[in-house]
Amino acid sequence: MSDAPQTGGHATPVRKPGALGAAEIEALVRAQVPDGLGAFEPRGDDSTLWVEPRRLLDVARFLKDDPRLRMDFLMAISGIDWKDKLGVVYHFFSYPFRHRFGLKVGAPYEDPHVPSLEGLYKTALWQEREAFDLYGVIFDGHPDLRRVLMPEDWIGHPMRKDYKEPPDYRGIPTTRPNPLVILEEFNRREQEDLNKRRAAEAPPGGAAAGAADAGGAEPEAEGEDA
Amino acid sequence: MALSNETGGALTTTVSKVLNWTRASSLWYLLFGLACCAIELMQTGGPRADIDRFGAAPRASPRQSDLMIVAGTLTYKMAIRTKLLYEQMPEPKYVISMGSCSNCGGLFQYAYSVCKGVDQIVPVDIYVPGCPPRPEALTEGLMAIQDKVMRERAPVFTKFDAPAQSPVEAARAAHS
Repeated sequence: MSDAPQTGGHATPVRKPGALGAAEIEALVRAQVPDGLGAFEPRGDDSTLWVEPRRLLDVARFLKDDPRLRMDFLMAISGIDWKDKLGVVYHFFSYPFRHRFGLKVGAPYEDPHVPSLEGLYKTALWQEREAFDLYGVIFDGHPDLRRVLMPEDWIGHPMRKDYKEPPDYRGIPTTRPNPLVILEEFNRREQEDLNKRRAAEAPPGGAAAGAADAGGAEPEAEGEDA
Repeated sequence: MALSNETGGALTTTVSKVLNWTRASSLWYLLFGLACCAIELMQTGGPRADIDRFGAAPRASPRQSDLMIVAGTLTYKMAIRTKLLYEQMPEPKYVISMGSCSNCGGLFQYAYSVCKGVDQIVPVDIYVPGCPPRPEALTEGLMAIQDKVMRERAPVFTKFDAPAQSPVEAARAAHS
């Protein structure tokens, strides 16, 4: 590690013999799964390949079982709301070889169904529940698809771009008044009351002009003290 | 058996003081650590900043505690359970809101799943600011609760406004 080139604070990623680069992994996947694959986005370790939902299980099974890949760790399932469609992003990692790969799956808003990876990776149980809870993506084949972070009777999927927070949940308000706004409002009303009282106490008639000037000057000073 | 304040004033005050002192010196708190403030709550109960010397012992069950220290972020999911636990505590009960998250939602105030302050669920007696509050700050909060308890009127010998007629006499008058 000490003779590795300094990379600005990031450690050089560990590689075991047999580790493949992202482009090689993509080539293997394309050779195995003939259709249903989309664009490949090369980004070094974070490269992703677009997959159609009907081919997701085949690709995932290949990534997991193939002896050259052995992606035995599903690092993350992330729901995502591209403005034109919903989707899920998967990140895979291989402990034997220490190489990584990513998959992107899109699903339309009206019918967001994606096959569940729960049969292959048990960690997908809760991660898919989270994607369902926050985005509304429905995972076919998931044994227990229900909300994981929000309460069971919550309406809506909070991480969608068009989500509007309800004003209250079972009587609990979802906003809290800003104390600075309250303080400002309080000071303003106090000032108004003070001005009104000064104006009322000032003697009416000719002396009102002089008194109003004096009354006008004083509240400014009082306001600064307040 | 109610002693009026005029005749039994001194006795009432003394008894109140004694009862309040007994209650303030053994405030058993419900272990209600939700998030990071729970670590500081544990440390406050630990050897260095020991709140057991004030008589405050942790209890796991709300039925046996009279102080609920809400330590940590309250989500809507937990808020329902918090209300349930609060209602299970016997009177007289007190609530300390520990940390920013239970005071007002704190760092996560704009989150969709966070309840903006535990005082939207249960009535809070003392707010302890901090993120997380140091054990010393929580100890000061506990001492503030003790002051609050000491200022109470003990409910045993409390003069209450009795009606002019007892209900029995009122019923008798209505019948006759």
